[in-house]
Amino acid sequence: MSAAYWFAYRGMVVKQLRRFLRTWVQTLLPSVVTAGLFLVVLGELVGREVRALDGVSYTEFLAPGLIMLAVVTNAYNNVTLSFFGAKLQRHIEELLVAPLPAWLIVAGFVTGGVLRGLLVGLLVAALALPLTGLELRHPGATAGMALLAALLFAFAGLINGVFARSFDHTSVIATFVLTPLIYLGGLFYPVGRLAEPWQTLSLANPMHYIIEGFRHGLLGTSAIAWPATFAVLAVVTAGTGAAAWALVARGVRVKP
Amino acid sequence: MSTPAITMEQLAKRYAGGCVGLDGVDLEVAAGGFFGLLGPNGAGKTTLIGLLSSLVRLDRGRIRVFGHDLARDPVAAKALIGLVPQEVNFNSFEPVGEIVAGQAAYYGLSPRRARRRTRAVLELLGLTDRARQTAWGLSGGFKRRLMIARALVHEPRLLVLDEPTAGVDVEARHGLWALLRRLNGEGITVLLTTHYLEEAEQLCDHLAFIDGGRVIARGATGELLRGLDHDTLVLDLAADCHSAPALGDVAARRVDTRTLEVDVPRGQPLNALFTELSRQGVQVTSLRNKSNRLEQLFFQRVYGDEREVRA
Ligand SMILES: Nc1ncnc2c1ncn2[C@@H]1O[C@H](COP(=O)(O)OP(=O)(O)O)[C@@H](O)[C@H]1O
Ligand SMILES: [Mg+2]
Repeated sequence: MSAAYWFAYRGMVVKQLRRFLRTWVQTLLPSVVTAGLFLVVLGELVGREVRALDGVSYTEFLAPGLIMLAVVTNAYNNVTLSFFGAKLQRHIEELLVAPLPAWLIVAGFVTGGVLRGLLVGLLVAALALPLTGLELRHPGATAGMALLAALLFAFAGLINGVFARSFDHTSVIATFVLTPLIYLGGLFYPVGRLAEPWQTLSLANPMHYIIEGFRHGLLGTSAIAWPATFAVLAVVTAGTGAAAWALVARGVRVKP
Repeated sequence: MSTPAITMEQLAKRYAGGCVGLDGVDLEVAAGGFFGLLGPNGAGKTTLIGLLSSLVRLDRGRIRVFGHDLARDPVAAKALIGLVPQEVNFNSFEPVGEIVAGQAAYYGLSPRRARRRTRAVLELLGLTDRARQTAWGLSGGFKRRLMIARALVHEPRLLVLDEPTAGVDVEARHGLWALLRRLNGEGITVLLTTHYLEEAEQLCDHLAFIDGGRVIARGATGELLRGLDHDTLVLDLAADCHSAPALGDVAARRVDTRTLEVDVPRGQPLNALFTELSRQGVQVTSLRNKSNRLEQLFFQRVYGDEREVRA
């Protein structure tokens, strides 16, 4: 990357960071509170009644999924809202007039989402740690899975931001598609214990693989082949990134 | 001959929905020039600026900025342009200083140079005291100044302003004119759009009239004005006059009971006009040249007649 591109990228990322740190009560706190409630209410109170799952306590079973939930929803929402906000207030034009290639504009927005996703994920992990004693069995796989998932959802959030014409459009996918997929993807229970057809349906849910892969990295347990998960996730992320790039390069819903 | 600042060839733009933005525009702006793009609302001025600044997708045609093709070498071309758009387009929740410094970064300035340039342009536009204030609270005039500061931060060779004085009070307008003249004197090429013809006459060395997405007249300001076939004089009268006098080949219109406007063909002596007025008992107390000659020229070109415009 040339020095000029590096300075531009840095400028975009600094703005993204300032934005979500300045409004931390809305951007960082909610996911931490939600995860804390799930850990205490479900993990500690209800979990006492549940026998060990996959060889770990219920709180431990929950924690990786809750961290992943925080990572992907924050990565997604950050990019959707900051891109939509930039369209609404028209300061997207500051980037369009500048000598920046489309991939760099995508990189600026997506980095903001990834950073927020990972930061909130770390905060949730820090909260879960005293309750669960997470072991971090495979640090490389854990970090890799978190980063890939954050990237994938940041790209997807950018696509949502491109198409959004109103604030309703910025939350509809997160509320009605993402959250159900995560909740039904094995966050709260091992999918293998479901009856048919729910088990097969769950295996078609992409979030299932992300949650299981991450759980494997953290706890060493897993119901799936995680190297394959990694490979598929990487391919899907690259595809989503290419789609986001194409939309920004064409100026869809941005340039008349 | 140095490379022109802007070369546009056969630009065409039709918006989704069928509205014609531009319909085959050729334009050349000389390096170091002060160019005015004139036209009524909806003429296509903002479309042309949008195409030049990559905010609008081009259907057909070619744009070069100091010789760099905007489509083939966008990075080199865009780096040379500073844009002051017609509508506010900054993040109102951000502080003034961060908006300007952010744009400096987008143009690839190092953090050190960005800080130095930000200080300089905020100072130039009288925004230093407001650097930490969020842009949201700025008055209309200061918002415009912020956008000018932002456009200048990367030291562009071409400054493009879309109706910079629309809705700006007289004092601020004159301040802006002085600034633009100074920048142009320092070698920056200026392209501005306006529908104030007086502004164009005051500032620009070259003009193009645009209407319905087409350039209908262009040239050096002086030459365009010489193309006028008559002068319009405003006469203040000593006594009320209830109908416009008939003055032969001089068209006369009554503006109000004590004011007349007359169109005197170029080169015709005024003596005959005053003799005739005296003969009809019309006493003239003072006389001035109507200043908005460009307006006449504009209407002459657009409508082929001298339809009047009233403020
Ligand atoms: N985003 C847009 N979508 C559709 N039509 C547009 C858009 N922008 C401008 N137009 C139309 O294009 C024509 C030229 O507009 P514009 O370039 O804004 O004119 P001006 O700046 O001279 O007032 C007008 O008929 C206008 O309605
Ligand atoms: Mg306009």
